[in-house]
This record gives sequence, C-alpha cells and structure tokens, in this order.
Amino acid sequence: MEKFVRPQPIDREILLDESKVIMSKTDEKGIIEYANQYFMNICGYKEWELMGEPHNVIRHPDMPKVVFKLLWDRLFEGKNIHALIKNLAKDGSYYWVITRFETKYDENKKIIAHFSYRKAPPRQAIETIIPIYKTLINIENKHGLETSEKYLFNLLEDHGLTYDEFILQTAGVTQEELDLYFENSL
Amino acid sequence: MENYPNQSPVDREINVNPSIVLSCKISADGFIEYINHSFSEVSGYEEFEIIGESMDVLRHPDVPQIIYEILKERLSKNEPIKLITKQLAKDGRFFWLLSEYESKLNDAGELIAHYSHSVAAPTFAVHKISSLYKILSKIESKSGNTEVSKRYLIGFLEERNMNYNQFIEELCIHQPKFEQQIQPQITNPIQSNIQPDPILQKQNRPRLNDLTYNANLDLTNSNRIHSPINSPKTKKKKSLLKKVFGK
Repeated sequence: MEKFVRPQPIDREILLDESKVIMSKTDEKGIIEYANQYFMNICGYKEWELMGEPHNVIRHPDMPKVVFKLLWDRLFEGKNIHALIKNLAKDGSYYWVITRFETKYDENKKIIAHFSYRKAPPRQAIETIIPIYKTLINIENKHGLETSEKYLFNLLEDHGLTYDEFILQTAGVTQEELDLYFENSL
Repeated sequence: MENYPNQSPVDREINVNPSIVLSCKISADGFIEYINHSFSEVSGYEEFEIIGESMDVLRHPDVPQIIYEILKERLSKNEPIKLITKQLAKDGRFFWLLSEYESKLNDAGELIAHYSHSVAAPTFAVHKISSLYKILSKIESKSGNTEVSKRYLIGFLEERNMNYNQFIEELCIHQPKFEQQIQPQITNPIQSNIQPDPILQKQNRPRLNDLTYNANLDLTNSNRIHSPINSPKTKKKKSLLKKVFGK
C-alpha cells in the first residue's frame, strides 16, 4: 500500500454548508471505514485514497495535539465530545468543524466503531478558539503535550468551566440547540 | 482442459433483450455445467466452448471481488440473494444482468451447484451500482484484499439503513428519486442486533437488518423479499427450467 502523503497547507478556507453533515465511520482505532458523499466533496479525496487510512490523515498542523488526546480519551470511553477542529483537505485548504460522536458496540460491549458527524461551527466559536489553539501549539512545540494539557485544564478551571461547557460557551449555544443542529442535517 | 482465452474487455455494451431469461448452472467448484440458449446468444459462446470452463471467463474485472464473496457466502448458506453484475462476453463486450440464485445442496447440506437466472439489469440500477463498484474495485486494487471494501460496503448500507438485498431491490424498483437517506418502502420492519446509525435512527428511519460483525460475511439477509424477477413472464420460464432440472 502506498504511503499517504499529507498536502502542504494553504491559506484557503472551505466554508461548510450549515445544513449538511460530514459523516465518517472508523473502527475502534480510528481507521476510516466509510465516509459520506459530503465528506468526499469537501475533503477532495477519492474514497479509495481514504478508506483504510487512519483518520488523522486529515489533521491540520495548526491543531494542538491535546485536543485529539481529549477526543480519544472520550472515544475510548464511548462518550461523545464536541470539539472544534481544523481539518486539512487534499489541496491543502482548511475547513473548521464542530464534532459529534456516536459509538457502536458488539454484544460483548466492546467498541467496534465510531461514527463522527461534523458540521460548520458558528463563526464566533472559530474566532474565540484560534488564539487558544495558537497558545497550546506553541506550548506543545516548546514543552510537549503534557504541559499543554496542564495549561488547558488550568485555563478551564480558571474560568470555572468544564471542557464541554467551554465549547458550548464559545459556540454560544446550549446543549439542546447543538443536538438539534446535528439532527437537522441532510 | 485448455484455458479458454479471455478476451480483453472492450468498452462496448451488449443490450440484453428485457424479455429473455439467461440461465446457467455452476458447480460448487466454479465450473459451468449448463447454459441456456439465451445465455449462449447474449454472451457469444457456443455451449461446447464454455461448458466445463471456469465461471471466471464470464466475470468482468469491473465487478469488485467482495460481491462474489457475498454471493459465495449466501450460496453456501442457501440464503436468497440477487446481484447486479457486469458480464464479459466472448468478444470482450459487456452486458449487465440482474441475477437471482438458487443453491443446490446435497443431503449433508453442502453446496454442490448453483443456478442463476438473469434478466437485463435496469438502466437506473446499472448507473447507480457502477459508481459503487468503481469505488469498491479501486479500494480493492489499492489494498490488495476485500477487507477494506467490505467495510466500505457495510458503511454504505448502514448510511442508507438497508441491508444488501434491500439495496438491490430499491435499485430495481425505484426511479431517479433514489438518493442517500430517502425512506425505502420496506413492508416488513426487520430486527437488527446492531445499533443502526444513531443520527438516522433519530429521524425515524426503518431499522437495519442483520449487519453483524460476527458473521464471516456480514451482509446476510434471511428474509425472502418479493422479487421483481418473479414477474409472470419470467416465472413461467423459470418453472419450465425447474421442470427440466428438478430441484
């Protein structure tokens, strides 16, 4: 199998249609098993280029690793997380998403798949999070993942928020509104 | 037995007369035991040229391997299945068939042969399924196996809240309105032992059927669904064949 080559990022944003949802299915380890048509349209890859690859091939280098650590900590427990993520398309363009996850189990309660749903986040969420991500990534480059994780938790504590509350606040929505946003998707 | 030279595929279609039924009988180890006259006419092979040959001579390379694996699994379990396949004619041209299969088992329940009865595949179905086949084939050439293509097909069906049989039925009876996430006309709600796509479920769609991760091939459906192939005309021809071959 040929090695996947990540493109060079370019400063071009893809804006998602708010009525549509990007859906992808991975196995328990994050290998992509299926992706819907909208995902293929946005990311610019062909199905055979992505299937069988780990989902992190669409990670944008501007994303701090700590966000994915939090994400996977939740996924291993079969829990949902709403994360604000910058993704990398095939031509190097980027697009922002807010995520939602559902986990699938076999009869032995073992995780066998993760469904991820991604939609356009509110502009204010993106604008709020960009400087925070910049800080986190600078910390990571200098001192590593653990230090940036500590910084993030301290930041949340300082504001008296859990991670989930923080995300809702940056998006300016309630959990119910966010759930509805995902459910009203084509 | 000499290998019958397989023509290289050419991109020209043979249009199959919609009123004929092509039939053949294939042994369990994959050799052609019988073809009917229509099959001979359409494929361009004389009986003596093709009887005793491997059924692979008819297989078109554009059809992904996973489809044949599903067929094999269903045949060995004597479970109903229909396939829409691209066939390779003697001169390299192709033709599309909608095929129904019947297993012939011995007393021990082992597969000894199968029959296929086919009609011209509906154009709309061909159009839809070719794009899926193209994706699956490319996945298979890249990965060198059917694992990834199998997973893709499962995800594809889950997204549409259908099992494989339902998908084929939908292609054959629905017209261009058929797109992803349209409510299929399923008369029998079917049990599922796996959680269907949760977002789609919340939108009150019919449940998934039998997409288990434990079966060797997870695309089974034991429920017999009314078949468009069982139109009165073809039913007549089929029962004649049954008379000739018995069961």
